Amino acid sequence: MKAVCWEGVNEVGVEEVPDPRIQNKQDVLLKIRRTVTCGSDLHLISGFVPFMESGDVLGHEFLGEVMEVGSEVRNHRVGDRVVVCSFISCGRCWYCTHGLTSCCDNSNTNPAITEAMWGYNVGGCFGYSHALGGYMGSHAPYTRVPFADHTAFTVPDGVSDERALFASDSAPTGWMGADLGNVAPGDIVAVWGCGAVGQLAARAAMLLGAERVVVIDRFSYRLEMAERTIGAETLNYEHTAVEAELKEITGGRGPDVCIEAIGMEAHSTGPQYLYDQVKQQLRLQTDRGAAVRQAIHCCRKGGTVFVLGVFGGALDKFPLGAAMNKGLTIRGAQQHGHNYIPMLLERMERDELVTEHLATHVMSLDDGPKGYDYFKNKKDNCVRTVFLPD
Amino acid sequence: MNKTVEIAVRMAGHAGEAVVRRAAQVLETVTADGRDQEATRNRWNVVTINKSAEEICPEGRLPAPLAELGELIEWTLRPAPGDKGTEVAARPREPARSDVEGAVGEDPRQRIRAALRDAKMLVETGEILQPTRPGSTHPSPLGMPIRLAVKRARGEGIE
Repeated sequence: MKAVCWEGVNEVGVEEVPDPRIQNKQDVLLKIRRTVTCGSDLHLISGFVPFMESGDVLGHEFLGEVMEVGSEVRNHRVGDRVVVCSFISCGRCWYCTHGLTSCCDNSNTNPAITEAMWGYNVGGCFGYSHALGGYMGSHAPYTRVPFADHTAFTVPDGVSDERALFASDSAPTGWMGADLGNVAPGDIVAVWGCGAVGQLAARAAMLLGAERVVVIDRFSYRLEMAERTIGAETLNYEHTAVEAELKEITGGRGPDVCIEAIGMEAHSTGPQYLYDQVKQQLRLQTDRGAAVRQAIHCCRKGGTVFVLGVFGGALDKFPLGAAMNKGLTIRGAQQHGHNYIPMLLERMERDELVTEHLATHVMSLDDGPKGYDYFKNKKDNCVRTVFLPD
Repeated sequence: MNKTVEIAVRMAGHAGEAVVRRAAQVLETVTADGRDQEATRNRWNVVTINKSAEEICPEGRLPAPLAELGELIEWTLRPAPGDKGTEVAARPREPARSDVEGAVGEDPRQRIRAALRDAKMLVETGEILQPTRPGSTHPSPLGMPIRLAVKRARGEGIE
């Protein structure tokens, strides 16, 4: 079958790859109906996650139809329309049974790599390097879904493919930031990053009762989309002093919850950006953290900073003094989407959560390189590129 | 920048962190007295399984991946604190004779760690998850460090 593959740093191609098959009794084989680019793919493409090899299939946010089930799959049947969480959960280790499903002990088949990088292994993820299990990604006509009873979720008839697609990753990631950031009624929430995850984190904060939600980015078209579709207030950091604005918006206190939805390739203005770029390119730091630094600085005393953006290694100039002296709670995680996806699908069915506006570009798999070019370089006001395998 | 050089620089940067960490460990080892080095090689490998001791070893039988190691290992079980299940510990009856022997992959601890991981997966989920095969990766010289890492990635670990 053909698939969109990583071919080298900043090289994406369409290749013939082996067809996937059922390998475990708890697998399903899925026919992909829709699969979408994600900002965290760009870290792979840019070469900042050093465990990709030429030919690895990209993609981890997807929806499809069950084609074949393993003998011990109980929750799914051939023909079911399912959305699949990007992280694979066994559902039975201590982490999965305590809501920390992206930290699953059993789903990463190469556990010692992340043990060496981070002390302990995290769960497996589709199309996200050999460090996270080496699973083939979803930018293909078919994929294998391990532990399918815990990782795939049946989509209600009342939710379209276009909307349900984002229940795979963007929506649960955003929801987790607001939920584990402890957003409460009356809070003022600031979100750094106005991509799909940032917009859906903002929407989650509103649904959890936030009084005001402010989204920060540099792309006017994304900010306008967040105002129009999500109903968030916005700040363009290229035109506004973000810290001063947030201080006044919050009556001099600072946001109660700050959500960072950008990750290791953050942009910023001024000499900090040059400093971070030079250090990252020389590998004196692996991650550029301008947004997370600013989130920590802006957060009110005793507030919470939640890191949703993907970071890989070490970040320089981390403002630990601000975090410690202001008594902040700092949390982060890859998405524990399994806790949220059924609830999110119900909200989608009730039109409380809409996502289809995020798919600004829809292309065939054959256009994979073009789709990533539009997405990475923000061409034609791209927010996300969706690929259709057929 | 030439593509090959660029990729090599990127790999080297990330590898640098691991090298520094490993150097610190080696330094710690060589500066420790002989008794400490022996203690390191004799250390138990432990995994926590989210099940009771009776579920892990019904009628005293070890899960298959550990049972297959037979007389190679000694083992023990103890309850994990809180609600975390049971700690399963194993170590070789004959430890590696040196750190060098361990580093080149002959260390029985590699097999023991892999067996502990597999036993945990088998007991908790009912099967051992298989990596995707055949994969789509094109073997190339640049990918060799990754393949070496993957080769050892179910065992004791990568330093």
